[in-house]
Amino acid sequence: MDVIIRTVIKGIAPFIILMGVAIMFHGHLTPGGSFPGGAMVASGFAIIAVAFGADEAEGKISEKAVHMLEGLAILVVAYVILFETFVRSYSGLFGLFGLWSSVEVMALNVAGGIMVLGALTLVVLLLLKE
Amino acid sequence: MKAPEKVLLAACLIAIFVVITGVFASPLFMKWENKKVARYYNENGLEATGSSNIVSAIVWDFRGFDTMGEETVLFAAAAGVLAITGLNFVRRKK
Repeated sequence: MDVIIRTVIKGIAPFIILMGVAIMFHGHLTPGGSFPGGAMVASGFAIIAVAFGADEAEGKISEKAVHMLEGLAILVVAYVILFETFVRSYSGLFGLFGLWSSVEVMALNVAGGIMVLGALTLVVLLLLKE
Repeated sequence: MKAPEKVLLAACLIAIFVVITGVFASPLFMKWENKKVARYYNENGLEATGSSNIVSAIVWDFRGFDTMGEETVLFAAAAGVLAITGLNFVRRKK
């Protein structure tokens, strides 16, 4: 791509990714949540991949790591939701996933955001390679 | 277009019009005060989940089982793209 686009994206992509992570982690307090945050981080990765090419982006975002991250994230989401729905509501084990100010919404927001960013990044990377 | 098809199409259009107008003109539409579930979410959402973002509380806590299915759909989409594009990638390595 053009040198202007590459220079601008070099400066702007970290801030996009940081904004997405902040939205993911503040999902239980402010508007936003897992899907907007994950999509924002994924778009940060996507513009890096578009500007520098898939081979260059592979050095920064490893496809194998994204695979493993996504698999782990969906396992965490499924486990926490099934636990919350079928075990904690009946047994009264309160506060097992209690993080700071929310009971389990923040953990689920972060895990779901990693899930969304993994899926979108994988789609962009794999289709760019073809 | 034949005559029975025209009658069927007109009936469908009239039915859609009646249903949509009935829903939007009904006095119960957008009245959440009389609905038990909406009242519960609005009044107890903060204490029950600790999340002041009520959308997040409903999506991830009260209706978490639903959201798990949604995440599964995303996972299936990524797995489908991998299955289509990554197959010859695997074959090349062997």
